[in-house]
Amino acid sequence: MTNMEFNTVASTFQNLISKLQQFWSAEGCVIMQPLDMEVGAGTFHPATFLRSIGPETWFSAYVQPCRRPTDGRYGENPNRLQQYYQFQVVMKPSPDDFQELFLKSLDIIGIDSKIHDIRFVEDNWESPTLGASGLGWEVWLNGMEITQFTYFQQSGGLDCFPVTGEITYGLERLAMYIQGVESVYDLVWTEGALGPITYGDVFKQNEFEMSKYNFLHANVEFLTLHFNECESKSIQLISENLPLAAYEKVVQASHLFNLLDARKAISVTERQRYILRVRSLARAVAQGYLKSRADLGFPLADPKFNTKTLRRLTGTS
Amino acid sequence: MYDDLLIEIGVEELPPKNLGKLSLAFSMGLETAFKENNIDFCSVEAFATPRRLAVIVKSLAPKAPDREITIWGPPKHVAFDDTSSPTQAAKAFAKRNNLKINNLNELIQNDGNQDKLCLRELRTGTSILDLLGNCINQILLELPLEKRMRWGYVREGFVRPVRWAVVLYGDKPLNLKIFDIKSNNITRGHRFLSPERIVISSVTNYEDELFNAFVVAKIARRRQIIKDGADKLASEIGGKAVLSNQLLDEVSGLNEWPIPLIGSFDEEYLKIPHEILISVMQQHQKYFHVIGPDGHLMPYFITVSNLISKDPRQVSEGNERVIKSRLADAKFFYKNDLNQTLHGWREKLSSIIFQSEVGSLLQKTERVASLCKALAIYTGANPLLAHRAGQLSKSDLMSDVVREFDELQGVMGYYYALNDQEDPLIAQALSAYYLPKFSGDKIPSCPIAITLAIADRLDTLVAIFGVGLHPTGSKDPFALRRASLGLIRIIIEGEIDLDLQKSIDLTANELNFSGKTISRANKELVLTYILDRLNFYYKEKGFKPESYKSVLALKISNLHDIDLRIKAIEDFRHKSESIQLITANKRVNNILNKSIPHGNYINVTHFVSDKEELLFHAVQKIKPEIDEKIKLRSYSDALETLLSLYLPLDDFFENVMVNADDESVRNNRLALMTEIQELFLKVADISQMAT
Repeated sequence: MTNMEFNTVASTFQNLISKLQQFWSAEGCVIMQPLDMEVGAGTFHPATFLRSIGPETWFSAYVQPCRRPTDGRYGENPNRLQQYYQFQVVMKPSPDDFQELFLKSLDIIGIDSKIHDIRFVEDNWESPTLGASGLGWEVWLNGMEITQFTYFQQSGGLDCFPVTGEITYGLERLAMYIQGVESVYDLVWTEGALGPITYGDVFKQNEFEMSKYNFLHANVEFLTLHFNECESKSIQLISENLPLAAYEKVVQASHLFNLLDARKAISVTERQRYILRVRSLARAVAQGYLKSRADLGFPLADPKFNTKTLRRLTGTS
Repeated sequence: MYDDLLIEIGVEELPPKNLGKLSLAFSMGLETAFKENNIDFCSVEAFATPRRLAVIVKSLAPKAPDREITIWGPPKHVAFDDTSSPTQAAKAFAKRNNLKINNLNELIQNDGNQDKLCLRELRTGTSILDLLGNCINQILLELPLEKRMRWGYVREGFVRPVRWAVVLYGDKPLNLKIFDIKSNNITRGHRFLSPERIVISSVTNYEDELFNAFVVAKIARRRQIIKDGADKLASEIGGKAVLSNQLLDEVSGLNEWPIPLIGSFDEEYLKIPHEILISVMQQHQKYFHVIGPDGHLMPYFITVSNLISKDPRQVSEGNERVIKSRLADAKFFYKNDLNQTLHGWREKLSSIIFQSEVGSLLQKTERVASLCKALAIYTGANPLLAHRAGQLSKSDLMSDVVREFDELQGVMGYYYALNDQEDPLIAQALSAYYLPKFSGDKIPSCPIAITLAIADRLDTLVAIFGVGLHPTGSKDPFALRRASLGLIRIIIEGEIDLDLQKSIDLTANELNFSGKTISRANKELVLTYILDRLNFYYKEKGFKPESYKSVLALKISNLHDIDLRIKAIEDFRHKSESIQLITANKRVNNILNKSIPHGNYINVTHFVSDKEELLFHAVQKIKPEIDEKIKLRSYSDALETLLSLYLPLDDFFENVMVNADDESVRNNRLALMTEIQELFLKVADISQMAT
């Protein structure tokens, strides 16, 4: 595939990220940095999960490294990674031209909608551990899923109002498309002083080692203990009215669960129970967070609503 | 002035699978609203694309006709007192109808009997402007949606966010509030081929103007374009596109401007089971697959893009890349699976819960295997092979391929059984026992598959009823309804001579061994539940309720036997003599219903009339014949034989009083009637065959 026409746009992996950041920054998004914790998806970042709760407005965009231990392939599969990058955009309330903005962003990074077949294909999203769900699409580029596009309906078991719109770009897939490479490891990360630095240069060894760790060396007993510890700590922190701190424990518990899953240490029945345990933590955090924002008077809410209305709307009076 | 009306609701991409249904419900909703409000129109035409639901109503009246209404009040003498002043009753009438009291005496009319207060008023008919303002939102809110969503600050919600609306009446845009937007005459064309806003100039031009903006507004038209395009592309490579209706519907719901394109994949993938390839293409990528003249899969796929691409090659190549990586994954999974065995996977089933109170899937396979062995004598299957098939029936759920493509359960069991060198009959059964998968699907035909299909369904039914989780209302999480209907079809259409009651007992025994006691009451419930489904089964087949109800009333539990009887009755009902039997039966029943208790013993010495004796001998003569025919299940013959009682019975009733004064004579006659009634009940409860 010839990609001459793309050479001026998003020709490297880091260039792709900066173009998306610039674009969404110009749309009024708070550009956040990644959450410094292990998560399975950008949705776990407080800038999405917590901010989707309650009546306040919030526009934000950020890169989030995601870890999916079971997807590790020791660096041998050109399409699967145990750690990869998402670019996450959240807009609350979801704007009327949300889809158009997204399509414009594709244009900016060099995907020509007059050449490529871009489609919104129904795909409803659910995160059982977060008690979150939404309706929307996966976006197809010539039949390949490049983005998840979702209108949040529930978060931490609470109905979302106003609704958060979420865009999750799969950065590696997009970059592979734009750069026309068959293996993720061949992606040009940047043009370095001594020539191109590839994704493989940056991460291949990491994939190998982390796959070994995830599948073979992660200590099941310790992970189980740690999971239990996170659970009880989170419950305690909620009772101390510290939902943000409690949420960190939820995030940790969720990742520990993923690791246990990768070690095949959880039977199918137990699996469901683990999910429910994390979900009930997430629910408690959501309620605690809503209350703490209510106590602050929902400072980021649209001024057209007064505090009383907001409290009534959110049931926090 | 009658005029055409256009309503278009512009939305973000709708779910494709039910687009047709949604569109129909929307146009029906409007049609109903006009009819209910008495607003005249000529016809309704529906349009739907991923981004719009639209309806054109031809020759719609601007409003409902005005109506004169008449409201009668109290009689004059009640309404006015002696001084001709209005009474309380008159005042109440005035108040109710917004009338001035001092004009009431002008409203007196005669209703044919007496003078009364009477109000005649011309009511102006509802205008469509008033109606549409309310009813469009109402209809949208009432559409049958699986999931409704909210967006932005919109609370009521719809299937996807509503972004624009066009309402034109007689080419004039109407301003109505629909969700949080106002309607006008501005629509949008194809997202990429015609990104500008478009003004619809008139209702008549709607379809053409959208077409010029690269939107084919009608589902049926897009479907045709896709069908023709796919056929053409396939024939160019000497093949035939496989166009299932379901996929055609779905793909038609994914495009506004469909352009079918062909792509290929490496032939080496044809070495893995074709079902996997078809799953990847159909379920995951919404591609049509292509078969050659020999009926075998070809290494091509047809995708339907939504674009006249400036470089279609890039679209095809992109799709080829996707399918290549998906097929590589599938091949990887398949190769891995071939290194395992169904027997080996079976152990892992202990960690999968079938139902928490009943136990694991491993336990289920143990029960099903034993049950298969027990049922084999009825199905003619080899009991050892049937047992083995039962043991392996869930193993493929543990394979990588089925975990990735769950629709391939069973199919993969077949391939892995062959790979494990299991008996080919077992392999076949592992796939076929899932049949029928939907209404109208095939049923399994080989005895081992039939055995396994029956055992698996019975086990599910009895186990779930056993722990008290039987379906209530529309809730049926274990799909017991479908399991029952499947069971009914497999047994009846497979002509399996198997008593349901007895097989439920056998199933319950297996559960009992594993520590679950199934109560008698729950066993009864399962039996009744399955037998109740027969009503639906025969209704679907177009049988008369009188036919199957008459047989079901006998409470037999052998489905095959039930079926033979129902068919005999259904045939018999078409014969003119059937009426004789029904009448005869009715007369006998009438007598017996009114009678007091009496013995069943017939004493020939108590016969008074020769008609009695003749009838008695006729009965004695046919009794053994009937019994023999019932034994042979020649139910039509049995019914014919019963007919021979008609004349002697008729003679009997003409000449003999059953309720004779002499008690012994009377009881003897009643005993004879009872014997006849029992004979009549041998095939079916004929009294249910109402005339």
